Amino acid sequence: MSREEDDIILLEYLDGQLNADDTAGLLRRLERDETLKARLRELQTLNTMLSGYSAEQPAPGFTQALMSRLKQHPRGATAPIGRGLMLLVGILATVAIASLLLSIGIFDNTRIDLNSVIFTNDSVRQSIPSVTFDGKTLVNVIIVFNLVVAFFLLDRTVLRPWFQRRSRLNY
Amino acid sequence: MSRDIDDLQLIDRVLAGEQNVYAQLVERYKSYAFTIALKVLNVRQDAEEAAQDAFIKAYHNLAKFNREAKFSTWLYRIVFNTAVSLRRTRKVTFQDIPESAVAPGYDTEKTLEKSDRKRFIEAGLARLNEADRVALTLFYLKELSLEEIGDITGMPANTVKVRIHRARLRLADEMKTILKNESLLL
Repeated sequence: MSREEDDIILLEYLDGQLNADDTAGLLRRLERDETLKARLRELQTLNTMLSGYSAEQPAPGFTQALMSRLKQHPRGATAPIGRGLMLLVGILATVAIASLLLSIGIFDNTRIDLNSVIFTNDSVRQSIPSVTFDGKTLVNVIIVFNLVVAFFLLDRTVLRPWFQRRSRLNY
Repeated sequence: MSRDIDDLQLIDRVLAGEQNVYAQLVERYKSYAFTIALKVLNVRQDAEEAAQDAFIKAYHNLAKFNREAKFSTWLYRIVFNTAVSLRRTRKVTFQDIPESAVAPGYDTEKTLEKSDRKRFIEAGLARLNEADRVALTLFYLKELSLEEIGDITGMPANTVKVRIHRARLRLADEMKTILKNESLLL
């Protein structure tokens, strides 16, 4: 058996984790192996020294100092919810306005002629085809994106705090 | 188990707005929190700062605390991570006992008093890495299981067990070096 394996067995013996058979085997070996016995004494001494270890105490004013710091930085439980709700209302208002504008057809047939935008000089012969800018699709994408953001905000600011509060009350 | 339930009741009161109730949780866990921070930082002032920062972080994240877990384990993990972060910024160096402190022929059996033993153990612990040092300290404080120590130091329980074994063996060797290869027989 290697030295490291012996050490592990000795530590498990000291921790009281060695089973009865292994303990008997170890005790037999200890009777005839002086090196192993010396190593056990070393580890036993270390074990005793470490066992006398107790938790350290912080300075006497630790808790008071901590509570003073907490009073300077109170838990911002209501402020983020209020801000989140305001943001949620803003997003929903934007979605409503965009939907209204879409429904009255303000973004229908939006077209950009790149020739007239980029080349005002006739000397430039090359022409660029006119590009159809589909404003309706773009606004639809923006509306969907806003709805996804609104859903996350609703979850964070309303649903999750509400369910957490309910689970605490039911506890 | 009753302490866990009691913790949850205190947490509920804090979440309901009774900030002062948090002081009870601080009183309950401050010594272990401070000990963990001290094992990582080795400077009492820095350890107090890290422990306080950790308690404040825990306070601000109390609503996210998983009620299935133990509050103490969750808190100690925050303490450990906060202390490790602080250690990186402070570049803490551990002070070994100078070789000259242990004169040749040092008679360990007669002169190694309890305070000296603690000093030598501290010096030996200082030569271990922070996770091993914290794991070994928590193991000998005997209040936490290997699983809980693993949760705090971010290691699986089996790894913790192996590392505690190895840390003790290394500590035994370090102690020998510190004591100028004298036997550890005191």
